[in-house]
Amino acid sequence: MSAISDQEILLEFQQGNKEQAFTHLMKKYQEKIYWHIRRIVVSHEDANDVIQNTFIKVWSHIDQFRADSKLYTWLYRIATNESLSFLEQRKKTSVVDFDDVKHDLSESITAEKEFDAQKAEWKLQLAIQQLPDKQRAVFNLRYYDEMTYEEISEVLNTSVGALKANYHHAAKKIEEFLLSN
Amino acid sequence: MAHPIDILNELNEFRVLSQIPRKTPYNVPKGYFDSLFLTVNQQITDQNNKKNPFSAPDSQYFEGLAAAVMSKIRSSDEEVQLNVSKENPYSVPVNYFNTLPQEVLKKVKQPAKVISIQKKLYRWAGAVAAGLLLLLTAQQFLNNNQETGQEKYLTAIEALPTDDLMVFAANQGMDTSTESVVFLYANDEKDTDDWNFDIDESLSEFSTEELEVYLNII
Repeated sequence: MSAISDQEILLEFQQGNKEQAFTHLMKKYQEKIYWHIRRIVVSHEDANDVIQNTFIKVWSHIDQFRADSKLYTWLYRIATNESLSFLEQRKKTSVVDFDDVKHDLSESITAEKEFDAQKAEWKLQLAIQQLPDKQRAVFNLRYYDEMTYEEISEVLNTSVGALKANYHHAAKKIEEFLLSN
Repeated sequence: MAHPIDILNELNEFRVLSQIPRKTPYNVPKGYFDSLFLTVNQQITDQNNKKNPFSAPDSQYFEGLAAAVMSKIRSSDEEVQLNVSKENPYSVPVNYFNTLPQEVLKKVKQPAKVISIQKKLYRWAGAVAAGLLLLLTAQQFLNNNQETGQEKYLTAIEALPTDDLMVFAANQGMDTSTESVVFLYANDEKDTDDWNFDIDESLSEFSTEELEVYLNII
């Protein structure tokens, strides 16, 4: 069975088949969205909380979705906002400062069962966690999700030029981190 | 979605980064994505239940709600129609109610013609006195200046105060009530000067004895 298109999913919503449309939407995007969230919040437990909140918001606001943006960039926007809000909330409730929160994220990475400090991909994850929130989001969306700058612009509501600069700064910081560790 | 080659070409200047396999090293629990949809669906159901803690009487409630409302609207319309049929079938002249207040006010402001009982009595007294004087003069002429007892009575009556004459008239059965006097005056369109008083007729109501008795009483 071929994957259902975004247009077909939206048509199902418009026709009132909300539950069926939502099922198709989640089946199609849940893994992509999950990994996007996971790369930001790191732990599975936190990612699980955030993805559930993300899709609950999708369910609640699907009627307000406007076709002037792509369905999947709209999903990524909600997921990104939910992930960054989650981290922001943790900063507010944490007794430690921002740097310590970043340290917590790094600790979460090293606490993963499969963590191997010798493997480059784990080092890369540690390097990404050193980035400011916005640069981290831009880097993940471009590097892992392979989005065009136009699509990232829809997700983060930022100009393409600023995104290119952000991505370049992020890659440079990561390279420096990898070289020094 | 960007082409993978573009992504890698962009990173060519970063020697270390460009050599790293582009995969996420994290794992998820086995069967996680199979159950994720059910978990989210359950949460949405729970959230919807939290939003509305009330429940409809039965599952058919909303199906019959529209019909029930329409029925109520129709009965309301009928009630309105019934109210219309209760309207007064009579009609009034055009502008009747507009002019009615003025008409009433005009009538209310018009004062009733009231004459004081004293004024009326003066007429009676004057008439009686004039009649008596005429009578005495005639008798004097006929009797060659013989002064009779009646003449003395009439002279005495002439000197009587109005109130006493009023009492006398009442005692004689004459209607001296204010209403009666007002009624008489109101129906008399003649001017006071043209009031044609029949002296003989007036005097005939009083006998010499009566005048004598009256004078003895007062």
